[in-house]
Amino acid sequence: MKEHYRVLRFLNYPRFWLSGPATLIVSLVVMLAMVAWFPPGAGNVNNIIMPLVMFPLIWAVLFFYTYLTRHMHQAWWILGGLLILNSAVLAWQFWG
Amino acid sequence: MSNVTESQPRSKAKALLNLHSWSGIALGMLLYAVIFTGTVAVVSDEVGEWSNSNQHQQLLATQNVDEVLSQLAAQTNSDYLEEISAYEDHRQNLVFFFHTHRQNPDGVMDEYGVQYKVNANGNIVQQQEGFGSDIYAQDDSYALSRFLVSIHTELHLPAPWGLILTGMLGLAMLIAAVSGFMMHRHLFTDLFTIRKQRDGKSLKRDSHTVAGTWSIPFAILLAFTGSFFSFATAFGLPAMAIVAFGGDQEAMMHTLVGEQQHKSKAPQPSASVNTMLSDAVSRQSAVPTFIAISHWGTESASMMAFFMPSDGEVGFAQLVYNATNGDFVEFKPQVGTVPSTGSVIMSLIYPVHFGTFAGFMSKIIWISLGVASCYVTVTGLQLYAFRNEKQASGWRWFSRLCVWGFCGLPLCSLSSALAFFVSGALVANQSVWTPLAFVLAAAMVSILALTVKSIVRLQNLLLASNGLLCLLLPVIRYLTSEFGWLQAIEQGNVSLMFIDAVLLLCSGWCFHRIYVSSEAKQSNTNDADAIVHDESLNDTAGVAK
Repeated sequence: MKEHYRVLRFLNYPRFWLSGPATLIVSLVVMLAMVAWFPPGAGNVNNIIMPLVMFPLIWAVLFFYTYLTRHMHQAWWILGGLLILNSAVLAWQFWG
Repeated sequence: MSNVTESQPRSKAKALLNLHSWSGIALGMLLYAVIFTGTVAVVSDEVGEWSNSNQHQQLLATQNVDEVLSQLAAQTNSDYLEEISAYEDHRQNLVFFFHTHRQNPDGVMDEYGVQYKVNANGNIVQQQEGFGSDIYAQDDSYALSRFLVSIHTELHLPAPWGLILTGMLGLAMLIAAVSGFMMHRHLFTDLFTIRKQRDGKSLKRDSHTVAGTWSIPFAILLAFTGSFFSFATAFGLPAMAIVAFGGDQEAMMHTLVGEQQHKSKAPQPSASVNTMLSDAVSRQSAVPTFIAISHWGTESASMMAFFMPSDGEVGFAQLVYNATNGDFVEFKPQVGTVPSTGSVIMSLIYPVHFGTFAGFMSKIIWISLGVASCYVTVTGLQLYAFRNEKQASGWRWFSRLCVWGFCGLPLCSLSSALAFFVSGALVANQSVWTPLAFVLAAAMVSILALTVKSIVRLQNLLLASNGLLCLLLPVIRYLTSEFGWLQAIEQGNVSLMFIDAVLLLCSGWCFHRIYVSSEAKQSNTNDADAIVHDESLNDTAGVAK
C-alpha cells in the first residue's frame, strides 16, 4: 500500500501543479486569446494559423521555465498574470 | 556562497536528467509506436504502390478526363456537382468524387456524395454513395498504408482522444529531446564517443547518447510539427472557430480555404478540363496529385490543381483556373486568398514533418533519422530496465515489456501486410483483414511474452518471426501480383524495389541479431565452464596440499 502512495507522491509537489496543469491551461488560454490580439495580416488568416502553430512552442517555453526556475512564486505570478490578461482579452472578444 | 553557486548547476542537471528519464519512461513505449509507424508513414505512398504492385500511370495527364467527367456529371444528382475531386488510385483507376458538404453522424463537417472509379478504358468499375470519410475508410487499395498511417496519427483510438494522445506524445518527445540537449556538457564529443566495456561491447549509455545527439534537431522538429498536427486537428481548429467565428466551422473553413461562401449557381457551360490540366502540367512540369472542381457547369466554376513539392521547391503548389473560360487565375496560397506568413508556415509544416521536400532522397534521410529515433527510445528504456534489474530482480517484467513492444510492433505490422496480400488473393475484404491480423498478431505476441520464461529466447523468437515475415513478404507480393523485379526495373518502379529491398535488409538484420545473441550465449557458457574448471583445479590443488 505504501508503494502505491510513493508512486503518487508527485501530487504533493507544487511544481507538478505549476509545470503540469497550470502551464497547460495558461498555454491554451494564450492560444485562444491570440485570435483577438495577434495581427491577422493581409490574408486575415495569421491570427488563426499562428496560435495553432505556436501552441507547442508556448507550452514548451512555459514548461521549461516553470520546471527549472528556483523562484516558484515568481513563476506562479507570471502564469497568473498571463492567465488574467488573456482571459480578459477573450472575455472582451465574446462580450465586448 | 561558493557552495551555493556550485550546487546550482548540479541540481539543474539532476532536474533535467529526471525530466529526461521520466518523460521517456512514462510514455516511451507509446512514443516508440508513434515513431516506428511514423518512419513507415514517411513512405506511405510507396507502401501503397508496393502493396498493390503498382506504379502511377499519370492518368490525369493521359486520359480524356473532360469526356469522362461530362458523362459522369450527366448521371449524377445535381446537388453533388458542388465540388468534384479527381485523382489516380493505386490500382490504375481514376477516382471521381462528386460531392457536397454536410455534417456526418459524428457532428463533423464532411464531404457527402457519389464516388466513381473509372479504369483506363473509361469503364466504371466501382460506384459508391456516402460520406467521404466512410468511403475512404473502406477503400481496399489503401488498406495497408492507411492502417499504418492511422496508428501513427491516432493510435487507432476514437476521435479526438487518439489525436490528443499523440499530441501529448509529441510534447513528451519535445521534453525528452530538449532536456537531452540541455544536459549535454560536451555536445561535439558526444556526437562521436562510444566507449567500450570490459568485454569489448559498446557501452549502452554511449550508444544511446550518440544516436540521441545526432537526432536531437530532427526529434525537436518532428515533435513540434507532430504535436501541432494532432492538437490543431483534435481541438485547435474547432476552438478557433468558436473564438473567431462564433462556432461557425464552415465560415472558418471558407476563410482558410479562401473561397466565397455564396456563389452564383446560374448555369454556364464549363471549359475543357483537359486544356486546364495540360496548362497546369506545362507550368509545373509535373502531373497534379489531384484536382478539385467547384460549381461545375455554373458561372462560378473554378478548378484547383494540387501538386506535391516539385524539384527545387519545398512547399506544395496549388494552381487555380477559371473553369468557365479555362484561364489560369493564380498560384493559390496554402491558406487564405493572398500570401501570408501563416500560409507559408502551413505549406512548410507538412513537407518538413513527412520529409517530402526533396523527393525520395529526403524521404530516405527522414527514414534514417526515424530509425535513429526508434533506437534512442529503445536504448533509453533498455537502460532504465537494465539499471533497475541490477538493483531489484522484480524489475524483470520491464525488460520483458520492452521486448514485447520493440519486437512485437514490427511483427504485428508485418502480419497486417501479410493479411493484406492473402485476403486480396482470396478476394476477401482487405480493409477488415489488415487491422484484424494486427490484433491477432498482438494477441499471439502477448501470449508468448507471458509464457516464454527466458527473455533472450522470447526476443530471439520474435526476431526470427520478424525476419521470416520480412523474407516472405516480397515473395508473397510477387506470387499474388506476378509483378517481379525485372518488370519493376523495366518500368522504373523505384518504390516497389525499395520496399522489397528494405524488407530483405531487415530480414538479414533480424537473423544477424539472433546469430550475435547465440554467439554471446555460447561465449558466456564457455566463460562459465572455464571458471568452474579453474575453481575445480584450485580445489584439487588445495586438497593435494
